[in-house]
Amino acid sequence: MNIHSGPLKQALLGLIPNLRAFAVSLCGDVERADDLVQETLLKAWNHLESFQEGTNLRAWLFTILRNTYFSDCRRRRREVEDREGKKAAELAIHPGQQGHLDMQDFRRALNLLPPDQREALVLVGAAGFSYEEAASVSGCAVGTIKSRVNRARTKLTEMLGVNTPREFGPDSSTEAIVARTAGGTRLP
Amino acid sequence: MNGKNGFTGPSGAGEAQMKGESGGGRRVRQPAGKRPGGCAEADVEMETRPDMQRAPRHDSQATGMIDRSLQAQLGRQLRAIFEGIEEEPVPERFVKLLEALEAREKQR
Repeated sequence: MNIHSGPLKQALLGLIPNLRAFAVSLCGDVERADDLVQETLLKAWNHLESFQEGTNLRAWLFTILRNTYFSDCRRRRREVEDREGKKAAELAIHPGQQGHLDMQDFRRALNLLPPDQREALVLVGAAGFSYEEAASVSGCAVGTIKSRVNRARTKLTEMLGVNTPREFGPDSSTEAIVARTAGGTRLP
Repeated sequence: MNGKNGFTGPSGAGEAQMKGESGGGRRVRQPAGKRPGGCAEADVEMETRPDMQRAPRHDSQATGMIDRSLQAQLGRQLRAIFEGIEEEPVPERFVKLLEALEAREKQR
């Protein structure tokens, strides 16, 4: 059976939001992510014969996308390492200054994870793949995925530096509001 | 999303493993307290040793709670990023690309 044209186009269109979400989470950059998605769609269309019908089209597309991303990474490894060194320096002064988990901090920390750990975390923690599916997408053992997810979690926790109870609950931002309100409403 | 969560899921296993290890550690260390001494000395050992090991255990329990709460928070943020992008409309370039591929296919 040939699922080219109509049905394939519809199937691919339907999976684009999912693919983009994976790509952005993986590379942390919307423009680069959309280039990855474009390349993935082209490769998928041109190599459809290597897709086994009846298997998971989404997993197949994710595999193409991550392979494209990682070979891309290998090509520009030096550049990426330089950039991540700078990002690490920026991050180091950041978390201590505020008592809560800020989305920007989270994004930055996510981008600082080793790519293989970030991939595992995103596949399992956000894209909803089982460990087995994630392992097949990444081309590694299930145990490897599990340990990457664990290391990713540990590293994020360390990077975001939220290790003390004080940083939870009624925190410094509440205190700041209280302080501000107290200052602002002082009667003459 | 199907509720699978890379944060809370493996965290349980990790903690069980940690607890298992520390429990094992205590069991291993107790026999090490056997000395050529009387019962009194052994009793003192029983009193002090668990205490010395309880302190770090409390810490790790507290850390475990913080970790769970933090990891739930991290998991929510990860999914928020992912779902935020999923909700964006499909960029026009992809619609055009697929139309072009389809048109090319039909010409063959």
